[in-house]
Amino acid sequence: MRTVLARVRGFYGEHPLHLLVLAACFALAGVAATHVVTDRLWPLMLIWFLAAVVAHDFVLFPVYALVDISATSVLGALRRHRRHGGPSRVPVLNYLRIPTLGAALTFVLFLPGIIQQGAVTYHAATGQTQAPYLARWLLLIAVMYAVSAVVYAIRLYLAGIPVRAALAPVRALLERGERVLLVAGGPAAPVGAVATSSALYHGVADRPGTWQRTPWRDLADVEFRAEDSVLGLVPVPGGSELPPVSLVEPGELVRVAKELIAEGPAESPGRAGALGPRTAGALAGLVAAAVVGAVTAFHAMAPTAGSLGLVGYGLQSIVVGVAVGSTVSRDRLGPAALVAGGVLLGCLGWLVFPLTLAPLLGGHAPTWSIAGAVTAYPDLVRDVLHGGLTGVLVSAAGAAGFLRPARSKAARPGGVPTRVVIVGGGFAGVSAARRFEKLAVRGAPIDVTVVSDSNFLLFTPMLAEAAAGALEARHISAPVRAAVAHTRFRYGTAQRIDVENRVVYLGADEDSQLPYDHLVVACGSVPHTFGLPGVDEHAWPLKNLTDAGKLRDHVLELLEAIEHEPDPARRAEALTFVVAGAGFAGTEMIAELFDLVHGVTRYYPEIRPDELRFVLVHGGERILPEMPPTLARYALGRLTARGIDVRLGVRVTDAAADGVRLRDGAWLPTKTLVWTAGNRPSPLAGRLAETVGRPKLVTEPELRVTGVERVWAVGDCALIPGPDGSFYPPTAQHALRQGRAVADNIAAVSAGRAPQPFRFRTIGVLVALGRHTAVADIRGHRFAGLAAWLLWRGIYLSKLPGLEKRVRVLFDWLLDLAFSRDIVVTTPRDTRNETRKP
Amino acid sequence: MTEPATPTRTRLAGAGHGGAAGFAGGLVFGASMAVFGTLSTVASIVHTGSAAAGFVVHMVFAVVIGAGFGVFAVRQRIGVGETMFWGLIYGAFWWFLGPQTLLPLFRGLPVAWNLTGAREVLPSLIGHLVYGLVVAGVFVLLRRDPAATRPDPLAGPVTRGALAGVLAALLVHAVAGTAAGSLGTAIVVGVIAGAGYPVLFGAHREGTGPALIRGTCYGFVVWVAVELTASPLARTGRLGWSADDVSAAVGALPADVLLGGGLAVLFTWLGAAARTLFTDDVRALTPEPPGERGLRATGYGALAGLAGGLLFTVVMVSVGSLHRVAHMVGSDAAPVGLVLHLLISLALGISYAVVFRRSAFDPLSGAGWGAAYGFFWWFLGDLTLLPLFAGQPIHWEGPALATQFPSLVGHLAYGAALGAVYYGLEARTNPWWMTRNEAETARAAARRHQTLGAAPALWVLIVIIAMLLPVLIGSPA
Repeated sequence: MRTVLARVRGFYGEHPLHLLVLAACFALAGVAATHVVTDRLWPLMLIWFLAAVVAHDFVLFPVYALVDISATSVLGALRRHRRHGGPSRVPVLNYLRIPTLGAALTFVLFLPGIIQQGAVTYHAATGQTQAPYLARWLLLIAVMYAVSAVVYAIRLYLAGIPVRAALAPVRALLERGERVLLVAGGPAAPVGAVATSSALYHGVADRPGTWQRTPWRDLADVEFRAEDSVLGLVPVPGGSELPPVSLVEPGELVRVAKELIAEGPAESPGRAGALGPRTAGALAGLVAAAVVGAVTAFHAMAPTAGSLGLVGYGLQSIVVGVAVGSTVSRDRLGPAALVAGGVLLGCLGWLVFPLTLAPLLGGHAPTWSIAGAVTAYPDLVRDVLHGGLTGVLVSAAGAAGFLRPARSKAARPGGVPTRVVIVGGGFAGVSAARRFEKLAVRGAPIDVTVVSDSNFLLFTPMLAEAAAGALEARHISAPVRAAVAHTRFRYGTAQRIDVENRVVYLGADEDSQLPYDHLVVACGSVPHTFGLPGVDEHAWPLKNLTDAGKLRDHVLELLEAIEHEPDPARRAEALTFVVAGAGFAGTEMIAELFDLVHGVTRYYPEIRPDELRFVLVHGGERILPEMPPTLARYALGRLTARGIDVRLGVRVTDAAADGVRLRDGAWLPTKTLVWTAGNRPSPLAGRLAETVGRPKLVTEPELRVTGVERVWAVGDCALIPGPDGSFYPPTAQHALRQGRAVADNIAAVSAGRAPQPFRFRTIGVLVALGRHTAVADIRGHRFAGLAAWLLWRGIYLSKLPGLEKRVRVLFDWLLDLAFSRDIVVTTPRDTRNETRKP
Repeated sequence: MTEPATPTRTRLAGAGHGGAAGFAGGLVFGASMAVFGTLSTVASIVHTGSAAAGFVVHMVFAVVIGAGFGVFAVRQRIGVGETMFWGLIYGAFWWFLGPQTLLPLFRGLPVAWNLTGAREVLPSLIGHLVYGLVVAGVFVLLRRDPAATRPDPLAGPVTRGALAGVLAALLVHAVAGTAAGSLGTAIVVGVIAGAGYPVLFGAHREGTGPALIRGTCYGFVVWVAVELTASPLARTGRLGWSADDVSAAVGALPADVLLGGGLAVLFTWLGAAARTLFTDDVRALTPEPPGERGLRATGYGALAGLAGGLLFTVVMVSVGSLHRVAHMVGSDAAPVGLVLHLLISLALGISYAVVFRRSAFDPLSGAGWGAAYGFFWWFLGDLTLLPLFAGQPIHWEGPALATQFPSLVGHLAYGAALGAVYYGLEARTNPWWMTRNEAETARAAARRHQTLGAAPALWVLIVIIAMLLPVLIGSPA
């Protein structure tokens, strides 16, 4: 039963009961509707329903959000500028939100009655008029607000436990002239924190009154408990008086403190009691409304929509003011731009309020006709003047120092964003950098540098095709600088990592040192030959574009050189191609080599097809161990059907320039041994693991390297445990997700939140088997043959980084349909053998 | 948008220069007031009916208001092109504040703010606009740095501008036919307006979108200069600023707006074509080819266009104009009109993405560009192409404009939503504020300043023009 429930939940996304309740609700509503609504009314009701959905999602929801943001802003400002009112330990916002939400919902319910819609029907049905609706709705919302106020008062009383005793050490700090930014404390145990510009002083749970100093750079190690009340957020530049305290959300503690520190030193702090730009804008909007409103009232010009219009005008004033203030918070605008912005918003507000909402509230559909515009002309003059005056007031407030310094996204003056260094420009590293860019767009103060010894991101799933000449090598790679255009990039190799002092060394000089707050190790893997004799010297690896290009040139040069060779033994050596390892890379490689060589032999008339020999050597009992057995058998069948010699259960023991020896004693004469039989983490990851006494870089589920502070590892270089304790496989799809997860976790830790464990279920695996054949396993659904091949091409084409590369690869494939493969050898002959090995 | 303040750019200095500029502007405005005989109205503030006293009072106001302009504009980029539009909206704002509000207050009369009153002081609106232009021009002259490098030679750009003006005039005439007036006059106006464009705004490179909006506003200025001023002066020897004259001339506004927008776009494209064909220095070309992120931008534009189109649909359904759109394909069915409308919205969204890419730097600037773009498309699409495709005659007269006023509101809403949504989408992939070093930061800031130098003034001017259409047209339809 549980399994069935779990499956339903996995498919539906919620508990089955959820679906059941929803279905019951819809059924009930349907039954009710069929009893109430006549056939004639159905279309009308449907239209009204759809219109209500659209109006709610596109009009009302933004209004809710705007009102909520305004309320949060105003309340936040009031909280920050409370000077002598003592601590407020319970956030008031939710006690406003809930009754307001109730008022809005009941307003929707009562609206037809309030605007007297369907009065005749209503009277016929009930014998009563709709006149009391408005008064009753007002009474209802008054009750809701009153109940909320009572509950708030009770919460306030219960939370009113003295905390000032815990703050005694703060006085000492203030007397020393240190800048106190926030104060934290709990009523049950005086565990709190005091932030200064250099460090965080926090309480120790079992030693009341004792304060421990932790520098900011170690802040991630401080555990913040969600106390009942956390006091603080007090910007006092060098004051000597114990500052007033107010309540902040515990989770926001560190973030807010860092922001305050970031903006503090480089900017003028503004006058005592300076306001945030949006708050100042809202106040300016109200003042301007009062001035302009006084003129209209004095001259008996009532708003177009009567008392509702008056309320609308008030709201419009606040919205325009907040919007003008928002432009200040984004940039330092001159007064002309502020006044112009105010006038612009006033004009747009005229379109929204008097021309649209006012008729709606009056029970009429807006017409936006010129006659309506003429009627509302007084409102236009009022709104233009109001907008301009709001801009003037905000500008004047800024000039007089009543505005807090604006925080610009472009630069955080004096700010210290979290420095992140990513070592590695592969899937995992670039994915992490991209995620960091998105987080930075949302305001996370993070400064990221990517270090890589190649300036491009290689799309490894297509490497075998590039090695076989089916794709242009540059087309399956994308420049890192283009992929992460807003991230710093250093082209170089990380030589050493000093985890004590948190520095990455690219070289010996000072410019080559990269200090970090968090390090992401994503340096990938390198081929591992297990010390087998001759393999390092004579095998061709397949890890990067250089390997692919050289292998292609080597194969073509062999064909060129051997065509007129009379010695059968030498011909056999040259025309035998051996691939060691039948995982994804090895299997794809042997199939592509087969296609390449057979595809170009028509240019070499002296080479007979029966002379060509392809051997796939694998130590396991079956090829493609990562695939389901049925698909592996299918793949084996396709390869052997082409004449490819697949040797299972044997390994390469040594290699020479003219052949390969297998463990069963067989000698394969060949000049081409492609090595895909083993990978190991890059040497840098190995050295890092050794610093904590481990042979490999093992991480916690949150991707943090076990035993090393502020170092994270993702991708092929790390062993990352899954929920069942086994390690995730080193594939591109995992590396991409790990990159995103590590960025999220670092951002979370920097903001004082807990990192989340990495969880990912493999979507699928695909292996190309040469021309028009592949095998694929997508979430348990198995494909083989042409369908799988089309899937392979479609999926990997869509995963290629960048549109340009997708277009180029697509063109390569299309051209491949019409033309044969290129046999140009680009590597100079003299240097080919010298540069064969890395 | 603003330049860092230097010691010389104090508000006091700005006020001084602004006051002097206000004096010059006051003289021009005062002359027009003398023509219309409204100086005595100003004189009534000091309880006299003397025109001379009125002129003195007017000049005092002009100097004070000019000083205010100096205070406000002292941190803006100093250039004729940028400051001209600031002057225009400053004048327009003072028309609302001065003759419609403060003047009655000073005279002890009730403030009315109604259409009749507004039309009575319509000559004053034109006067305020001219005053703003003169103040801006003189202010720029006074504050121009004498040590600045000599301006680039203008012969080439003026020729290009004149060519663009002629082409734009021919295009407008070809599309609108007789609605655009006589061809000869249109060509003459096109040549003069085209030649004046680079003189006023320089020949620096600019994106097509910002150029289009600048040209749209320039078209309005051309309308004031030609239809309300030069043409009546030539024909009758007097200014055509009265309410009746303005109502009669409002039919020429679409032609001039389309001419202005068209010549600005053609001027920009001719420059780009010349660079592409005849420039061998790669530094003069666009730094990033359109294919780099163009397709993604196009997709975002389509999405934003659809969002704006949905908003516009509310207006269209309310006023029942979907049938009119359906006429374009020979149908009368509202669903056909809706589908066509959404397709057009989508296409315009894509065109917005193409020409306004990287022009917005926050949601407000996105909405500003978008609303201005919507305004232009009201003239081109609703008033011109829609009847053209529906096989109906094009009507640009006042009553026709009045009938289409709801559509103007819809176009503004469409544009504002389009611009704001597009900015939101673009900011996800092109966060201009995220720079990697100081040089990059400086480049981003320079591009931003160049793009947004006069932009807020352009947006405000366009919205004010749109809102004032009922006043310009006259009695409601």
